[in-house]
Amino acid sequence: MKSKHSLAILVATLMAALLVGAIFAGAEKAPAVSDVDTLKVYGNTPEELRPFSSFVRKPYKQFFVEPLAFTGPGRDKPEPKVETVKLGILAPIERSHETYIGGPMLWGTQMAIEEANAQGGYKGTPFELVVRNDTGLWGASANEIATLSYQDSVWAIVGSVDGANTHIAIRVALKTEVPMMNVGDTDPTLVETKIPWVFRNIADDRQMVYTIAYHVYRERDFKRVAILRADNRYGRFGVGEFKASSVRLKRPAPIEINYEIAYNQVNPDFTVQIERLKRVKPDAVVLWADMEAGAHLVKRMREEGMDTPVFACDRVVHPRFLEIAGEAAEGMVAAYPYNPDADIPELKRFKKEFRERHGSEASVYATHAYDGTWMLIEAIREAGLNRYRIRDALAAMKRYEGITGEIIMDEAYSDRGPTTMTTVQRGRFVFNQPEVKVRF
Amino acid sequence: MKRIRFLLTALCILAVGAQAEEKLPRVYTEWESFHASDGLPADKVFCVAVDRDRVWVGTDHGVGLFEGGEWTTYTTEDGLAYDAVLSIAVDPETRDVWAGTMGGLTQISSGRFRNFTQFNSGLPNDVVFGVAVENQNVWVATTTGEGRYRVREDRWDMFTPENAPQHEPWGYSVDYADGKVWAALWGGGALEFDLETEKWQAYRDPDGEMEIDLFRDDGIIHVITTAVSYREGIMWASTYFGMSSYDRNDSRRWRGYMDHDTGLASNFINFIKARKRVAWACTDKGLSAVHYDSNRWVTYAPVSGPMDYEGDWEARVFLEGELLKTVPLEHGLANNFILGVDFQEDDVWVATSKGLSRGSLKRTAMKSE
Repeated sequence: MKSKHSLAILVATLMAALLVGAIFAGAEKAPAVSDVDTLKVYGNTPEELRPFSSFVRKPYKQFFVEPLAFTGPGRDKPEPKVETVKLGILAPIERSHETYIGGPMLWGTQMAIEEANAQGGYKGTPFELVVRNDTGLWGASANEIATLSYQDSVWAIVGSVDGANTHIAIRVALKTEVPMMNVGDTDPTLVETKIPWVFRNIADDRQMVYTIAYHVYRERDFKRVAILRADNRYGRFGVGEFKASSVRLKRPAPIEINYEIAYNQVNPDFTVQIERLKRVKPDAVVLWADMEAGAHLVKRMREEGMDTPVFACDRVVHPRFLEIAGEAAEGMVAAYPYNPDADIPELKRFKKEFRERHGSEASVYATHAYDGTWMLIEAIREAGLNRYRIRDALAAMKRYEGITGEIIMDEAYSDRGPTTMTTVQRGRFVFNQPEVKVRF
Repeated sequence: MKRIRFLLTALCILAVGAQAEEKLPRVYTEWESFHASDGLPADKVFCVAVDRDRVWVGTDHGVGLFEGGEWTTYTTEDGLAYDAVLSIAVDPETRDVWAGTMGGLTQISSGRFRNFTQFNSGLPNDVVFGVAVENQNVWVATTTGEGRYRVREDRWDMFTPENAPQHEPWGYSVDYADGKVWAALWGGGALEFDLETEKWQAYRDPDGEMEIDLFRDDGIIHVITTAVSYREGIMWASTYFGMSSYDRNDSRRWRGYMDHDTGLASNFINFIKARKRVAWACTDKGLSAVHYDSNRWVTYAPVSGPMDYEGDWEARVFLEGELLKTVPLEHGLANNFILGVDFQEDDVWVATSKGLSRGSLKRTAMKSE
């Protein structure tokens, strides 16, 4: 009798345990944030990915967890009389391997300005866009920002794309004291410079890399990952957080294979890289490349019989990528700053107008340029023609409802809205696929 | 009468000096400021450089020279490469002036202007953030690398990641003293160039992370380094995240300084310059001076916070991070956003975002009397 009773208790306990287990199995546990109460979270970084969190409970000092302030003078400068309200754009529009980014950026900016002017501009004065080309040569961006600031007398600047050029540009903007809205440089370190004149309305590589890392390691359980990347600052800094995340998630450090880029021509051969990749035999590849080079790399992998899953950066999400890679692109997954298929009426309207006007789909850079330009326009309308007060108005925009969704600015003035993923299915990018459980 | 007054003043200075032997840095209570309305080329003063009895400033509307109580302005109309002047150095031998602008490097020699740009010379880039004179050479920190102009040979050397230990060539400041050239790099920490060996050495943030400083005294605070100053074997490095010192003498010791653990006005430091064992940090919230040996700080800042620069100012004296006293100032500095500093005997000249200021020890001594 006693043994029967014990057996019943045992069975009940087991069933209860199974039930609880089943309940918790259904709920994905989000990565824990810092458990040290005095620590603040920067860049949506989960506790297990915080630098040195396994060894040091608390660093001596955390940066970028308090809002950046500009404490200099200038807010009392009177508003001048102007014929047009000038905004600048610095973007790779010609003579660069990044014109596929810069062109749509320019168009998105132009569309925002035209709309603003149709609404009366700034108190009846039209906005005027001053366009400067970012040639990709190191240093040229510095000269352009000086010209935009002093000769062109713009009130704010949209740009740029390349991490190195933009870093150079923001140093000059700091000296000339002109607000810069970045809409296309996903280098995580751009805003980690403490310049209170720089704003970024697009999710960065840190967030996209975290999303990839948790998917690759936690959800797919890949163990031997190789990185295939451009041998430039974009590639180097893009994968930086992925390499660190791999180790912090207690996986082997990824094997890195680079390719050189020269001007705007891509050599589609990539034999050296593919041979190295075959020798490494990874069970997943993380690809950080421009869309054309990335397409050739994926194509060459498949041609050589490699069916290794590929997880790429947002730059490959482009029609030209699909055109070049063709069938080889099927199943490839990429991180993306936002969902371009989201049910947002203003986004749909913009995409339609963009398609009608330019004959192509609005890229992530076009939509973010549109949003970023509107953020500047709204800041100018609120603050008036004074760069210092425009900066303050931008700094006060903690959340902004744009066509790209809700832009959530952190203490470093960078968008920390959640990223997403996209998968190539039947020759097109399908967004929110795979349905990842953790997004950053 | 004049002689008696002079003797009294001298005695006061000696008395203050003797006191200062124990309590450096000294507290300057007497400040005067100059603005565009006084003859400055513009209120925004990026830099200041003293040449004996002359004071040169770089503004966003040209170079200004203060001599004999009068201001003279030089702009592109006079031959300057560009009107926004970020840095100035004076050759102590020839008294030539080297102005680093946003459009090239200008040499002002006996009233003549000669411009160096990236198109007509070996200047790495037209945006010259820093300039320094080393013997017969002129060093520049530009936005795409450091350069050395060998004046007598009319020849340029360029230093980039190709031939110097820097992963990005983003020069921000350059300084020379005691056989070493030091460069501050945006994103690259500090670089030391030994004239004897012609070799570079890099100093970077040991934790390698942008978002934290792991340990305070382990090395340079952050790689976004804005300026470096080397005096008496001590290298001082400023960043937008705090400042560091490195004793290259016997101890080889690093120290970190932040606003929460010292008397530093702010961690956002635009520039740093040392005189003997006292470093002057130019921050966005005021001016701070620290003595290396005593860790005694004097910070000049507006009483009610940095935005109230037109209100009352005070000097705050700290020892090992503890506030000892505050000294009200009759006149404050022109602005709390400090961009540069230099020294003229016992006086200190301060470039700010809204004017130029001079702290006078002599008048401080007379006031004490």
